[in-house]
Amino acid sequence: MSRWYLFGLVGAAVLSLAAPTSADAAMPHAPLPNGQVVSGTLQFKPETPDPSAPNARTPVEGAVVEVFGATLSIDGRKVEELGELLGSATSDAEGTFVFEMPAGAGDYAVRLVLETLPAGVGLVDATKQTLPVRLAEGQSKAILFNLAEGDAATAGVPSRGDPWYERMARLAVNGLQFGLIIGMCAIGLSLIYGTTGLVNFAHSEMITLGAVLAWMFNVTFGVPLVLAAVLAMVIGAGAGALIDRGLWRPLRKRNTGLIAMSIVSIGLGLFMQYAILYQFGDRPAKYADYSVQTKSISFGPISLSPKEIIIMVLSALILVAVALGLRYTRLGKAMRAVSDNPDLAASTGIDVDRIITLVWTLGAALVTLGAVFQGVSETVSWTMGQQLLLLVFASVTLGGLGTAFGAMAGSIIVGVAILTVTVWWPSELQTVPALFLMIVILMVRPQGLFGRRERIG
Amino acid sequence: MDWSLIISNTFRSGITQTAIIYILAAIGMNLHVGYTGLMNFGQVGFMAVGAYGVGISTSYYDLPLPVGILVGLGCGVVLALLLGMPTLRLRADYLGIVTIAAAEIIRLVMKYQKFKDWSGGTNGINGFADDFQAWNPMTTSAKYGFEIGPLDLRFTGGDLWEMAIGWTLVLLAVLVMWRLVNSPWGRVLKSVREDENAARAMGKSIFRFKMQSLMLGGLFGTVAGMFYAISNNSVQPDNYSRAFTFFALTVAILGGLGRVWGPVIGGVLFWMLLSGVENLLKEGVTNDHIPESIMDGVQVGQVRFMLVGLGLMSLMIFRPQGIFGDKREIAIDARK
Repeated sequence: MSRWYLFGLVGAAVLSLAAPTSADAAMPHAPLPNGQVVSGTLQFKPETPDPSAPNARTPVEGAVVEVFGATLSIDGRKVEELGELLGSATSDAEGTFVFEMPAGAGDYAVRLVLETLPAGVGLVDATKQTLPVRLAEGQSKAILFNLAEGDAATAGVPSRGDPWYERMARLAVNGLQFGLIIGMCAIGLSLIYGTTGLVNFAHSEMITLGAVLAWMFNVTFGVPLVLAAVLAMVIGAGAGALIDRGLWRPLRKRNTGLIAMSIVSIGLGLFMQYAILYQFGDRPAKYADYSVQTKSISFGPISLSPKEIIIMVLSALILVAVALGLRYTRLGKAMRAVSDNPDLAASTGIDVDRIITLVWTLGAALVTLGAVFQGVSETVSWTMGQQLLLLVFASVTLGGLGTAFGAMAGSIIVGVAILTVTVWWPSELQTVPALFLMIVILMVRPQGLFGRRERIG
Repeated sequence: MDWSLIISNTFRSGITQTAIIYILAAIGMNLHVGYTGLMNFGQVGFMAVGAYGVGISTSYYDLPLPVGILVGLGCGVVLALLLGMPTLRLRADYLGIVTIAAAEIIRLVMKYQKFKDWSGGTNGINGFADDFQAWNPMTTSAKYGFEIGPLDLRFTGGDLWEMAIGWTLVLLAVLVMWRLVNSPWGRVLKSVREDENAARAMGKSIFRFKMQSLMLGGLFGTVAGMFYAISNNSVQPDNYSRAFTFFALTVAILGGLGRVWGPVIGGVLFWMLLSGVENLLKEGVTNDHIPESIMDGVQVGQVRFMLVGLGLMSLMIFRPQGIFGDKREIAIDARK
């Protein structure tokens, strides 16, 4: 979707003079075979490596790879639709397969026939069974299927063969992890709303900024990810404070209306998103550390990689700490007081402006960490914030806009809900039930689960 | 630097189909945000249902184009009801959140590949509006127009036909808006915007007026979407993404919220500005006046979005009334 976003709008401007266009105007199949090949080597790291050669990989012989004509996404990184089967190739004793392309430049897809793999060997990521190939004229390409043996082969990916309740249990755990990440991102939004009344549409870009900052430290400067995340949190928190001091506080002082402020936040978000795109580029990227983990730990039907466990434990601890802090510390009480009633809080001697700046700082720091977690478990991309924002909105609305505890509970419900429904519901549309849930909540209990009635009218 | 190209492209952008689409969408947003104080941040959702309404009914159900247009309008009304019911009784920001989410749902569902047999999936729907060009009295491929100095104002018959219909729609929309906002109905809308409680005390049903406004403004968006679809003879799901709404909002604010002509002037100026800057940068990059290390061809497009973002922010902060607005008219909302 990322490229389309840009493409759609740039296209809209350029289109004005163009004739009717169609997305698949460039038809893939040129007539002549010309020595172009798609090749690759199928191999995996054995579960119990030979101690004398710990990095040796075992080749897979006799596995079948099928090649299709295909419709790819505009950036060529996703298979949108499989076309006709062009043929297949079988891997040799070294695990190598070579397929001579019958046609030249064009879009293709290569699919690994899982049934032909040896028992116990599978893909690390079940969604990568079909890979896109975009060939230029005269070009050949090597394809890499990421194989593994044992538990890692299906780590966290529900296979269709298992009973639905086992898949559901796995998805619920994945959903819990996702929900905790959403929760980290949601607290800031909700607290900012509570203390200032602002629906901050630029919150999504705080997410992207956090993940990209950590990526910059980690990949560009080679800082270990843990340290990079801390650095990103410091800078993210600083940015949050700066945005509040430099932009929102002066606007509050001028008594700018809330609709006007929301529109300002939309402008800020648009600017930040494309500034990040300008610097970071439109390619999704992974952090240098922890991006691939083949080991996993099993709990009954659920197997989790170490990073998933760490993410869940850390974010749960942080969320509990934030909840306790809001409940029992002076600062937390002050934040909730301002959130309840700024005027009353001011009259009891609380420095409202300072509290709001602190809310921004805290919110931005949490968002940054949540974003890094999301980047570790998925990828870092310039649209990740936009993709998360709607779920964050759904969560805070569900929990009750303006309440920190509601945001946490709502996030976990939304996270678990949108992943477990994929047992029956297509995962491409997994956000739809969340947003639908939000609309239903607004109809039956608009203040959300934890909100108070007087906020909404 | 090809100055003739820059000047021509800049000028043409202000009057061609793209500007018309944004103007129509912005007229609807002006009714929402400017006259009623409704935070509709999902105008693109109305455009999408219009475009898909006409696309699906004509290409999958073989309805004639005029009937397809009616179907599109019907879809707009239904969407307004669906969005308005849960949110219009709540605070203004809930509508913003729900509309932005709904627009995204519509795009995702229409794009979903498994539904491609009735919505076209990622490829969208193409070639359903051939009738529109068949009604063109001019020769579609012939060039009409003239050149003044460096300014190239020649358009193909097809484009001229689309522009003629488009500008007629804009004029009609402005006329409708002018009649509406100067009617008793329009005055109620403004009073809803200024003070809901006062309007309620006068015995007006706030919910009903807000719903009517949401529906009418949404219909302008629906018309914009249908014009987009029919003039391109194609509907592409990803053209209906969030940024479209934000551009339309910027257009409405630039011209002046709460002014009948605001979106029209805003749209023309917005596209001339944007296209001018883009063409300047592009020429600068291709002729090496701007070094590759600072910006390449792709990044020119991105700079454009950054400028719109900055523009929207600064407009709202420094001149929320836009070019022609009245500051008292847009003093919408205070914290309740």
